[in-house]
Amino acid sequence: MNEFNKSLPAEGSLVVIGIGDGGGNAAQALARLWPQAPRVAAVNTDQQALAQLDGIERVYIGEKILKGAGAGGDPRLAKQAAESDSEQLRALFHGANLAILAVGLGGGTGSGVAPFLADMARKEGVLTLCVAMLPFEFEGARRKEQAERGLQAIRDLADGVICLPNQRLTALVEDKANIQEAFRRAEAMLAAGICDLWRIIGSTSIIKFNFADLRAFLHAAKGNCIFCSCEGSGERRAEEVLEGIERNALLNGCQALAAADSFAICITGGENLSIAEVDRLVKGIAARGRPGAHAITGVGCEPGWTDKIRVTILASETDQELAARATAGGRPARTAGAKEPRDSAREAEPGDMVQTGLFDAVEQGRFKGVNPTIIDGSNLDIPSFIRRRIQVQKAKIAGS
Amino acid sequence: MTKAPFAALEIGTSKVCALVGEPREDGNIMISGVGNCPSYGVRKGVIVDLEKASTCVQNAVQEAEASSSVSIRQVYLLVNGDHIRGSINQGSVPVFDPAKGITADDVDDVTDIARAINLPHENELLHSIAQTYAVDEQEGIINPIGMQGTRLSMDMLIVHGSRNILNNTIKAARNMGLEVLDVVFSGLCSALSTLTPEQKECGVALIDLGAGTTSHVVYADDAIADVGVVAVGGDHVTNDISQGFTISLRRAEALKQEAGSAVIDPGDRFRRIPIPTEMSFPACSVAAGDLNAIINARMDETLRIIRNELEKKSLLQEIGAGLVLTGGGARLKGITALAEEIFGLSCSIGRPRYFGGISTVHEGPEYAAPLGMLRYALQSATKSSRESLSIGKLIKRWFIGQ
Repeated sequence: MNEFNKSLPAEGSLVVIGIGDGGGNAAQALARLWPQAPRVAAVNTDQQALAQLDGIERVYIGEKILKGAGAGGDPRLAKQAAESDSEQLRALFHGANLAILAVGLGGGTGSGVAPFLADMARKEGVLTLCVAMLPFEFEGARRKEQAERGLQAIRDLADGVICLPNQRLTALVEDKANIQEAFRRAEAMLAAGICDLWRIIGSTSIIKFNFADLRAFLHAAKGNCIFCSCEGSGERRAEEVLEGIERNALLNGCQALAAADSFAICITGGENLSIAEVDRLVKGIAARGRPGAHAITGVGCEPGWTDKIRVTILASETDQELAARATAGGRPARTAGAKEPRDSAREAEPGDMVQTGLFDAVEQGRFKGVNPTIIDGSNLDIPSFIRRRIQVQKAKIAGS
Repeated sequence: MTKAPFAALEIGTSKVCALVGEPREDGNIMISGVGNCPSYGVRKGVIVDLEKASTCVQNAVQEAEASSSVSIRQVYLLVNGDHIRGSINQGSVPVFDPAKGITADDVDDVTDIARAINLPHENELLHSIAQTYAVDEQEGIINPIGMQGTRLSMDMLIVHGSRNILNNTIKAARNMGLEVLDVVFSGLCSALSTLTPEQKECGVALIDLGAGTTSHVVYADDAIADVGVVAVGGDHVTNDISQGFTISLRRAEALKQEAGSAVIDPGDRFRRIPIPTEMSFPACSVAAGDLNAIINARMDETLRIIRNELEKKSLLQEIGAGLVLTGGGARLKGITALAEEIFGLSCSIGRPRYFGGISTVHEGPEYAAPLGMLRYALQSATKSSRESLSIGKLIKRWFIGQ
């Protein structure tokens, strides 16, 4: 199964580190999904949980302090454990340019060790992207609070944070699904999301956005970022994906998309992925978003895929000012940015003809900066005639 | 006996309006003062810039004071915005003494229970409006007192809204030294000033076409059965025109008011509407067909959203007396024809009734809401404090700090 190309991007190499039980399981899922993954490791304070993983690097921390029993849900203990074995952890970052930290927040190890690792990576000069699962509601208030505190710490330290609020997954799993299954589902989604992202950042992409773009995007999102993936196959695969997005519980029936100030779209398909399909997908997603939203699009190719396509969307709630700064800072070479001084965040990724124009749809006009009115997934602040595709001629200057 | 004048204040999306009304012996209200100020800092019925909105309040109130020679210290405040929702809550109590039948005390008990809804913690109860009662299995009872039964239930329409947004509106008035006597959802006010008892009895839907919001109030069987707000209004129409033709919002607004229509006339296809030179914008022209297509698309969509909502709640068949349109949007050409087509019901423009005085005010559909507020003020001053709409007492509780 040649799902992923072995070669690494010219920019550097990647290490994926799963932290804690949830993160470890996600790392394991990732390794299974992606046999040629560059380097996948799991870090845990619980020796037993770690022993159940195979095929990936395992780093057991805190033996001196915890005697292998785990952190017992206490992030401070977990952090001490990480400090006591910091040399082992530092070795994980050797030769890496980008570290993806996969973590389930809420418990001790995840919430305590993830900020520690993010800090370490930063000191080692490695870019960090943290993909965090937030606890289900049934996990209780204490874990929720611990997760929020951990998330805040990570936001301050990591270069980018993507959140997967597990609670929204409950809509995806059937009622009879047991708790175990719900967790597996979350971990699998996390793994798939990491794959998709890497495919786009990595060298197999046709249209790629580089890490700087992703970072600018995540930075502007201030870590308030949600992601979802949808797949389609057969003749109507593009439409299938769009329908999937419409129904996706993670996007709250498209509400999250319509409210997002910026989003990143990663499209992956086989060699037969047509430009028309990419165009339909991007247009379809844009139509569900709000006008003038900042978007970056990447298209990746998996030669092994013959029928299916897969779209991963990262959608954010953006602080306008930050977004403008992030975009300006992330792309200093951009000259076209001067064309539209009104809203620089709207500018699409340079050099990709496919994207420019697609998002050049409409101004928010009077409703800029106001909560959008979203009913049944459509953003009513976008002029009705545009959504209904009614052709209108601009005003003609008299005498011309 | 002369009664003291009342003042109504509406902080709307397009204008801030203060009205002064004096109750007459015959029950009519004489409009003695009006103040209007173009609104700044309000979007979709909700204040987004408190300072600007407060200044507009001051201007409007001063103008109303000047024209009426009444000093305004207290106001009845209208509120709007799509944070305001209506939901039906059912309460149920065992009848205290089934042998004796249902007493007024039982009715009081069930009213309290039906009113005690678990609102989202950030929301505040605005109005609780009694629907019908049920005694055991028998539903649709208007007055259960004296009836035999073991269990009394009642449906209550609860109108609630975001506490913070409501407080901001109150704050805009208080910042200017005004005491807020009561807060009422503006859709209910429009219904109060325009609907006749016959319409309410036969069932009627009032649609208030504001600049920032479109709200509806449905009467079925003489009771308010549903209220709702969609945060889409005349502003959206103007914005659509502005974007479609790439012209300024000001020009778009003028175009809408002077030449726009909600229905598309095939004869308009080749007719062009000139737009004169203005400031640095050169003179230009647009196709009348395009203009009306833009307006039609927006109004059609908005009205259909309301229609679908009423259909979902099985209220369409309850509306025997048709539709009544109020608000500035009711002045849009062709709007009644469009509404009739979409709802399949007859439609008319709501004219405020039983008002006298400054005639431009009491004849226009855009004043339906503040006029209705004056009527509400008069009613709540004369009726007992158990008037179901009144929430005056609650205001002090919500408002934290002065």
